[in-house]
Amino acid sequence: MSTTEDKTRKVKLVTSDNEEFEVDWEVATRSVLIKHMLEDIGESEEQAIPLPNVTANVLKKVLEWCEHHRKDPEPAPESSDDNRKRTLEIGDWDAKFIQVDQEMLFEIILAANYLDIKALLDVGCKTVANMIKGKQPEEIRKMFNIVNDFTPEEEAQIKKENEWAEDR
Amino acid sequence: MDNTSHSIKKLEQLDHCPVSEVLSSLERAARTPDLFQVKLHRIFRKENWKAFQDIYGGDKNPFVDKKDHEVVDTAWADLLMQSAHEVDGVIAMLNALLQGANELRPQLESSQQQVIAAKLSKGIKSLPDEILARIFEITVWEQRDHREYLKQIVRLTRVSRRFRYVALGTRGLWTMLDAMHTSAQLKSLISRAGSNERFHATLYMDFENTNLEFIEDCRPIIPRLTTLAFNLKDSFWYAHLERNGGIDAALEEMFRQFIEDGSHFSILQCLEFIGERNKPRSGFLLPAASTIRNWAPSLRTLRCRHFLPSLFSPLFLISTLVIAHRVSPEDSSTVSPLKMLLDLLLKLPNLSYFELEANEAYEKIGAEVLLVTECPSITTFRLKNCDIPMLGFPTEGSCIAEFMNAVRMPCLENYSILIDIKYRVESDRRCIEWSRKLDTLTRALLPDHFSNSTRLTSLSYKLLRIDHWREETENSNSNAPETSVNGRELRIPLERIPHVRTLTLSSSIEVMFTLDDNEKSSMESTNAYDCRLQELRFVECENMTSAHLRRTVDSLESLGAWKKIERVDVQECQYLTHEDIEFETSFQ
Repeated sequence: MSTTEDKTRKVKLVTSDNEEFEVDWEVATRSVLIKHMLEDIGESEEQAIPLPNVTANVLKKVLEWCEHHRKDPEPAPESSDDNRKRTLEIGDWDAKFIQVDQEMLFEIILAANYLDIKALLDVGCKTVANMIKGKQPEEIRKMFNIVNDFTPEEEAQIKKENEWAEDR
Repeated sequence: MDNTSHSIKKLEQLDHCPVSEVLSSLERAARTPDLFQVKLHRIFRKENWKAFQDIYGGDKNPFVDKKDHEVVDTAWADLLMQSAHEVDGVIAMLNALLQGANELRPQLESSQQQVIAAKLSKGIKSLPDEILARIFEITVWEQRDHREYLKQIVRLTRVSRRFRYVALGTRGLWTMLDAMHTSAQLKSLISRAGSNERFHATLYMDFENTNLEFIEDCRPIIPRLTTLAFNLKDSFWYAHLERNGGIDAALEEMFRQFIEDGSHFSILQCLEFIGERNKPRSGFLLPAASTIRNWAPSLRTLRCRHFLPSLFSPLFLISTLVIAHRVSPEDSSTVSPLKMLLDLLLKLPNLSYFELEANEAYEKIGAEVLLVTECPSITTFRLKNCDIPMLGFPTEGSCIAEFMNAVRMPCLENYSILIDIKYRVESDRRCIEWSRKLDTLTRALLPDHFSNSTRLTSLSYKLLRIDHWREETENSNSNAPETSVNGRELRIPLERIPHVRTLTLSSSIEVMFTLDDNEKSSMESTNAYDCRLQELRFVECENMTSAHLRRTVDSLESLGAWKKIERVDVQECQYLTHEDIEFETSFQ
């Protein structure tokens, strides 16, 4: 539970390329990792939080998302039922936000995972899932530059193994 | 001197002549920022060339103003020849440059593609297995068709060794069981899901035998089912079912089978009924509450899309109810779906979360009278009204108005309204009438008795699809808000929400706060309306300008309610700057 004091508090974040960001407590604590780190260091406002796995250009983008979603309620703990309800739909703002090149998209996903921002991770995963959906293996390989490392024998074997899925 | 050394000598000379500078000058010029915005054909047009000035010989006529013995002015003829030579030289250089550029371009593109490929490859490779698994789950769970679901999983396993490894290791991928799957498919899915994963199953009420086979195949994992959906989408089978006792009989048979078999759905959390939007059904009876309690003790959620069930007796297990249904009566001979919905609410005494997508809510209810229904446990209510034809909305007697008047939620804390307005092009002069109808709808959604809901502290009001109207009448100035929208307004009746502390508004039209005449006259002594509103949030008010915001603030100020506002938050309102917000909402 955040207090009024927390809401006015500023947090310093330092990226892997040594850039410092000063952001509102409410924005920074969209990240569960940062929230826990702040709890650990207590009231020490001057102490910057090091984020060795995030570069400045990625953190800038992540903070843009956090700023927009600063008022969102805390995500509920996931249940199996909730997981399945997760559709490929992405909100309008998030859809615009995530229109980035693939390199940045994967960087955002990794940063959201590291910083423990579930809703942002979800947006990233849904975007990639949308890219994969309905595509043939060859199209997926081409899209993400994945090498087909199966031998012809293995491919034949996999095809045979998957025959059960072709019924009906 | 041989030919080779002659050429080398020539090249050495060229190094010091202006030709070698042409390339570097061009390269330098090409680095100009926004080069492609520059009108090159204007800069390089022939009139700007020195050679062009020489074509006609200047002010003199070279064929008349010449020395006697000359046919033509010799100096001009020499100049002309020199210019022609220059132009040939320029063409030769440009051709050579063009050839070089054309050869270079594919090489650069190839290198660029290598860079892109390397980045892409690193991208997907860089994701840890658990994230890739999450992406796979989202991709696969989205597939509603049982065939597509299997195809999608198989495609993933055939991309690469890593994809295969992750897909086979992600147990959750294989958990969507469907009565349309073959016995072999079900066995394979169950086997691949492993021994601990939870399952989700879909049955079809219209394929009795298929369901029985399915239950037989799935018997070992029935205790691990967490969602059970009954799909009733095919109208053809309704007719078939009707001949054989109807949906009630089929469902009863299905549940009887479960019970007689001793099937125990120990972790089943969600029961789902999926009907057809065009042919919604209501009134079928769920088994007795005591039976459900024994059969599925963990059941918490009931989701019904276009299929509204009834209950014999109160079902205490359910805390979440999600309904999407046409609420207008089909004809005068059938019971109103709203009556059934109220009856269902009455029989869910522990319901805390209620979500209703009310279709055709603008229709008149007719002679049906809805009884006041107390729902004391509901704390969150999300209401969506779809496709409202605003000008046709009745002043009184609409289904939604009657429903809201009847349902009582004294412990409601969070109320969320979403109005999806049916698209229609209206002329400006009808905007006043349009706003009046919207006011009627708003008051119907916030009925009188809401003013007694002391726990209702958070209200969200979202008005959708005005922007469709805007697109249709878009004028050439796309940077300014659509002027015609300005004629419409959303009025929030403060007297209906006196206890709300946080109000979130998403509206493409102006928002004004109002108070009815009785309340206005009672506030005369104090000059301020006594409400609790402290926080205002404007989210995605895409046409809101600083002038609109000012008028919204003024409307609150005139009711004496502005001085209590502690915070105004504005998000995604493209025509408002931070300065506007600070200026227009500056607290006195």
